[in-house]
Formats: sequence, structure tokens, C-alpha cells
Amino acid sequence: MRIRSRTRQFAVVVASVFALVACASDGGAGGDAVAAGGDETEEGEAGGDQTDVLAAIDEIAERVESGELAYDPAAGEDEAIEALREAIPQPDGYPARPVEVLIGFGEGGGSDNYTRNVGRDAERIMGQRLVYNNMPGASGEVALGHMLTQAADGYTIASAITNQVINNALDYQPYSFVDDVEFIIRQQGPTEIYWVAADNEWETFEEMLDYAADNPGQVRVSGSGIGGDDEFRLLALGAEIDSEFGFVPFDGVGGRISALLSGDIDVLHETAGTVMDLYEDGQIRPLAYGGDIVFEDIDPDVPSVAELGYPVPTGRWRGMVAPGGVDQQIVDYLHNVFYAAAQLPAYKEYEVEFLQHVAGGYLSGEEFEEESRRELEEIRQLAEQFGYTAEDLEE
Amino acid sequence: MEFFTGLASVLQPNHLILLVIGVVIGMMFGTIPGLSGITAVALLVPFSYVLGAEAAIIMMIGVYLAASCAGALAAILFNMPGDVMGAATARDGYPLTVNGEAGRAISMSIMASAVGGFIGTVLLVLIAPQFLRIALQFGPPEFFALALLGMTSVASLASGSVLKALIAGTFGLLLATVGLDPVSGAVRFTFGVQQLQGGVDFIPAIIGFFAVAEILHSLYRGTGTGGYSKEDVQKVNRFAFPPMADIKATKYTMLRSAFLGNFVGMLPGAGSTVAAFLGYGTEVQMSKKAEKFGKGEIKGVVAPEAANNAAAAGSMVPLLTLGIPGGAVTAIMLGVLILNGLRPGPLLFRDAPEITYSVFGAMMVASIVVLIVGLLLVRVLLRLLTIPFEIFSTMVLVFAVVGTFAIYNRPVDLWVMFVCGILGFFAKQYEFPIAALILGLVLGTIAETGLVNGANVTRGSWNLFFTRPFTMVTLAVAVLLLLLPIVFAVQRKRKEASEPEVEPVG
Repeated sequence: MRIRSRTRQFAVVVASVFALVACASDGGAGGDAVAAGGDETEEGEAGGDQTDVLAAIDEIAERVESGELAYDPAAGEDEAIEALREAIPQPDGYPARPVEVLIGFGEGGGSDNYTRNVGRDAERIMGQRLVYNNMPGASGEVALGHMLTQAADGYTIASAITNQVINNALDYQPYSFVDDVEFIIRQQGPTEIYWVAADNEWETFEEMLDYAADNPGQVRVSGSGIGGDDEFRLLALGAEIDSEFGFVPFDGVGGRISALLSGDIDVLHETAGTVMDLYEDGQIRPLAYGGDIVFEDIDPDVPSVAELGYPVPTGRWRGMVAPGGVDQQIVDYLHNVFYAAAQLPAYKEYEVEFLQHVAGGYLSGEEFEEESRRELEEIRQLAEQFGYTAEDLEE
Repeated sequence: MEFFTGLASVLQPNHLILLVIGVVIGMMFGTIPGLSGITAVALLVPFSYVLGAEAAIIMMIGVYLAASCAGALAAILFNMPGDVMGAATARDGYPLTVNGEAGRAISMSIMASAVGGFIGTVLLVLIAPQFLRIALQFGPPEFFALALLGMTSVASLASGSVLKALIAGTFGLLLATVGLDPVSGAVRFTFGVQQLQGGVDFIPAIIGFFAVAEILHSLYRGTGTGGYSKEDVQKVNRFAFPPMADIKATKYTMLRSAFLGNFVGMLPGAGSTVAAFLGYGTEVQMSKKAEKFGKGEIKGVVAPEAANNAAAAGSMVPLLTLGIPGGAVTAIMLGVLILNGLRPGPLLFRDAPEITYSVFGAMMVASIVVLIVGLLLVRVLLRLLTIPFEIFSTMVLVFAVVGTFAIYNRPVDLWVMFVCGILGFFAKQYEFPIAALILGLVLGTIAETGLVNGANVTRGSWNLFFTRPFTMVTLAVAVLLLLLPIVFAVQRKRKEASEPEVEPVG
């Protein structure tokens, strides 16, 4: 008798637990098969409207800047938000409930900071909460994979970074990033810099490259974890000087910084914002800016890699995507909301703090998709050139 | 002297109240399997806007230290640790509970946590900058050596068969390879499940292997954990100060573990995850009575707890001096400081020294608060043991599911938890030590990245794996720890061989 009641108890527990799991994993599934691309005509019509809307947003942002419109990020509503709500055309009945935003990386990281900061004013404009959901793993693919199983109704979106295009190029995933998502907006561009420890013997980027050209694999460079944009920049750079670099990936920024300071690695390819303090403290110095932008605030005399005539295949951008098949009106609405939020002081202050304001990086959904496809091709070529494909790695 | 200013700031009534609240929250979250210090600290983040940076950090430190301490409590009472830190403590703590000494085990573990935290903070204040320089020398080859050192404690986690411990440890290493290769990014052992590319995280695994497996096993046996009567609980003092004899017997254990844990905690990346295991393993191998461990040796409770809390203090060093977090909790604290306009790093000491000294002061006061609050809670905790198993197990399963999901919001973690629970059931049934498995899982990734990145850092020279000063020392210690038990065994045999000659006379 005792054992039977215990078994019954157990059965109830197991059943309830499985019900929970089922709710968690299938919540809203079934919308994934919605075909994309049915809204081409609408997009064309909306094109003209979009320009007007963006101009209106820009004007409101200017008025906020000049103090003409009251702005208080702590309040629920203010004049700025009201004006923006009027300027941005809203799809019927959207958003009727909170929108879930998946973040493919842990709390406190670059992606997390971007998403939550741009979300601060975005949710005020939308009048609905954004529910952030950090789902780290496989350089953002766990979150992206999860998003693609959710209904394409605009209530589940995700922030994406360059890794998604790279992983797409390497064909690790059962889906294709560029083909299966709806591109909403790209908002951050690359701010990576090649850093060396202050006491390093190389004075210029060229000196480092000369040494690397003569000693293949001997210059050890670190960047963020697996299959990142860092690695592909180095592959391209190595190919240009007919040599290669020793790439040492670390998952956390902590490992990378201590490796640089202890001399385990020679060069660190890292976003400006995360190591600014060490630079100001005189522990590290820049050799070159990783892309095509010179950071005047840091040191106008340091060249950019593009300026020196070397190729820059990609860089760490960040943006928002939705599952393929989301109604174009909703995509446009989300684009406008995030675009507007990024023009407001809360987000701008954050950008300055992390030195993101220099890089710009804004692309509309369409341009974002085009650029991602271009990068995909470029990375595919590089990957082929260096035998960096899924099949080769499996050997 | 700034340190005393910091201390004074922490002792202000409002800060002190926040600290005590933090400790109580940390104790609650740490004790319930599935809810951990990470969850608690993450939940506090929104409040930091209201509280301001200093008050928020003080409160979070209370949560952090209390949760590190409380992680062991469920491990001792129910063999259900919620985090890596408790997995080592469970090995000797749970047998003590079974023997009816739960009160003693808990109060000693709280004592050891507090002492570990306190010593860790003293070390933090006195020699942190110097230690940091050493910690910075820890590159990938050193982490590889450290992982090897950690693995030598696998044998110490064996209950009976060393072979079974090795099998369990290796299985843990195998589990650690699931997901994307940490260096090249190749997909391994995911069996086509896209979500598994994120790998098997150790918290779902631990909750599965310990809590879920323990419940399954109890169902199978038809007896639950606990089985304490109200009278047993009444016997324990309201303020359950541990027996002086135990404190005396373990004072060197506490000291040793605190030093060790503090240093390991300072290493960016390894964090406090390895500290408890290293503390435990070292203690077993240093002990002349190694066979007593695993059967309810109080030192086996003290060592991991002291190491673990000293590591929590140690992890503040890379956070405050370089702005790099050593673990999940410190990563959230970093976020809080940044949100409040402070950027931890070399300039923090210059720009906002009061914050750093408040942190130091808060850690010290928090250790004491943990001790007082903890010892007051002992009787309440023991009362948990009188809850009928049917009710208790249902509650734990609910918490386990909610907690596992709450960490990363990944449905796949729940499946990992259940599968690990079933595996854990069989492991228990056939007496494979689960702690060894967890050790393998935790150290696997550290060892792998250490080895592959290390080969890169040393430009492919394997010699450097042995000749860099710290790898040499670490590996030497590993070899020593491996050989010590053999030396002790030989000594004992000699003694036994010589004793019979004496005995007839006596």
C-alpha cells in the first residue's frame, strides 16, 4: 500500500514535470513553417513611407537633443515617446502583449548590453514590455535555433551578431541564418582594435606584420571564442602577407586580457570598450584599428587596417532578427522602434561609454540582409581557401 | 587605512541591514537545489538602480558569500547539491546526516565557510595585488596543469573501487566534450540535436545526478532521506555553535583550504568551481587516514567549504583590479557596477576607491553575518529532515525543474537534467561515485582549452608544459599527491610488520 501510494505520487510528479518541459520547449511551435517572401509588393509600397517615417524620427530625436521635447527614461511616458508613437505607423493589434527578445550570450556581455540598452526606450515606445531571455551556447546558435522554432508572429525576436553569418558559412547548423530569418535592423558596427602590451617591442602594425611574414605562426593573436569574426580577419590578413598567425581563442574576455598582460599572447584583437581602462592606465596600446575607422578619441595617429591596404572581411556587428515569415508591417514597425530608441539619449550614452558611437553600423533590414549575404560569400571563400569547413574539421 | 573607512561604511545601519537581508536571501537560494547564488544575484540587479552601486554591491556580496556557504547545506542534508561547490561536500556531509549527526555537519560547514571567507578577505586586503601578478602568469598551460591536479582527486572521491571512480571521472570528461569544440568549433556528440551544441552545463547535470537521482533511488528503495524526529531537532541548540573539539581538530584543514581556495579563486576563468574539489582532494591525500573519508569524516566537510568561500573572496581580485570576472556571479556584479557608471578595472582604485574598500569591508562583515545567521538557521534546516519524503521530493523536483530552466532558459537543460537523473540512479545503484563524474565534467573543458590553447601559446613546444615555473610546481604537486597515499600505505605496512613483534611483549 505504501509503495503504491508512493508510486502514484511519483507518477504525478513526473507527469507535471513533463508538462512543464512540454510547455517550455513547444510554446508557440508550429509557426516555423510559414513561408517567407510573400510580402514583396508591400515592401515596395512601404519604401516611400519608410523614408518619411525615418525623417520624422530623426527630427524628433533632434528636438529631444535640443531640450525642446521632455525626455525621462525613468518615466513610463514623456513628450519624446508620445511624439515617436505618433510618427511610427503601428500594425493593427501589434504589439498586444510583451515581446520576447532572445539573447544568444550570457548576462553582462556585449550582446546582452546592446539588447538591453536599446530595449530601454524601445519598450516605452511600444508600450509593451520586452522580455529578455539569455540563452547562451554555441556562439549564439542555441538562441537562434530556438527562435526559428517559434511562431513567426513578431512576439519572439533575437539579437544576432557576426558569428551567425560565420556559422552559416561553415554549415554547422540545420538551418541557414541568411535564408531563414527576417532581418529587422543592424545597429552596431565593429570597433575591434589590435592591441599589444605597453612594453611590446613592436611600435607599428607593419613591424608586427613583417615579423609575422618571416615567422609564420609565431605571432600569437587572441580573439573571442570559436568561429568568430576575429579569426576570419586574421585568416585574411595572414593570406595577404603569405603567412599565418597563431590564433588562440579564449571564451571569456578575462582569459584574453590576462594572456596579453602575461605575455602568453602577443596581440589582442578586442573591442575598444572592454579594454579602454587598461589603455588609459597605460598597460596596453593600440597597433592598428581593426576595420576602416580611425578612433580619433583614442589616438588619431594610429592607422586603420583598411587604410594600410589590407583586407577586412568582416567585423563584429550586432542587430535584431525575427523568424522568417513575420509580417513585413511588423518587421518595419520593429525596425522603426529600435531605430528610434537608438536615437534617444539613454542608448546614445551607452554607445559613448562603450565607444560604439564611432563605428555607426546602422543598416536597414534590407541593407542588413544584403550585407550579410555578401559577408557570407566572402567567409565561404576564406573558409574554402583555408580548409575551414565542417567536413574538414570532422576528420 | 582606507580599509577601515570601507569597513565603517559597511557598518552603517542601512548598509548593514541590506547585508543581512542579502545573507538571508543567499542562504535561502543556496539551500534549495536548483536555485543558486547566480539566480539570487541576477534577481537583485533591477534593485541596484534604486540602491545605488555601493549599497547594491554590499548586498550582493552578502548574497554571494551566503549562497556559497548554503550550497553545501542541501548537499549535507539530502545529498542534493545545487552547484559544483556542494558536490564535494556531499561526499562526507551526507553520511554524517545518515549517521544522525546532521546538526554537527551543518554547523561545522557554516563555521568553515565563514572562516574561509574571513581568511580569504584578509588575504585579499593584504596581498591581493602581489597575488594578482602571480595569477596573471596563469596561462593555458597552467590551467591544463591545474586541471590535471584537480583530476588527481578523482581517486580520493572513490568509495571502494578506484576503478569505478576512474570510469565515472572519464565519463564526466566525455560529457564535457558534448557541444562545440571550444577551440575549432567542430560539432561533437550532439546526435543532431541543435540545442545540445551549447554543451552539457554542469548545473543541470549536478541537479540531475544528485537531486533527481536521489529521489529516484529513494523511491526504488522505498525509504526517503530524512527520517529525523522532532526530538532529534530539539536536541540541537538554538544557536548551534559547533563542538570545540571539531574546530580544534580541523583548524589546519581550514587554514590550508582557505589559502588554496583563495588562490584558485583569483585565477580568472577557473573561479571557485574547482576550489572545492581541490580543497577536498588535497585534504584526503594529505590525510593519513584517507580511508575514513566518504564515510562521514568532518574534515571532508570542512575542507571544501573553507576552500570554496575563500575562493569567493579571491574572485574579487581579478574583478576589481582588471575588470574581469572569474565566474558567473562576479560577471553579474561587473554588470551592476557598469550599469551604475563604474567600470571595474585598474582605474577603479583611483576613481572610486571607496567602492573597492567597501567591497573588502563587506566581505569581511558578511563572513561574520553568515556565521551568525547560519548557526541560527541550523535548527530550521534540520526541521526540513522531518518533512515526509512524499512532500519533500515533490517540492524538490519542482524546484529542480524551475531552477534548471531559470539558469539559461534553455529547454534542453531540462532533458539533460532528467537524463542525468536516470544515469545517476544507476550510478548510485552500482556504486559509481557521482562526485568523480562531476569533477570530470567540470575539469574537462578547462583541461581541453588549456591543452589546445597551451600548445598554441608555447608555439607547439611541449617542453614548456613542464618547464614554465607554475606548470612545474602544479604538476609536481599533482605527482606528489598521487604518490603520497602510496608512501603512507608503505609506511603503514612497515609499521604493521614491526608491530606484531612488540605486541606479544605488551
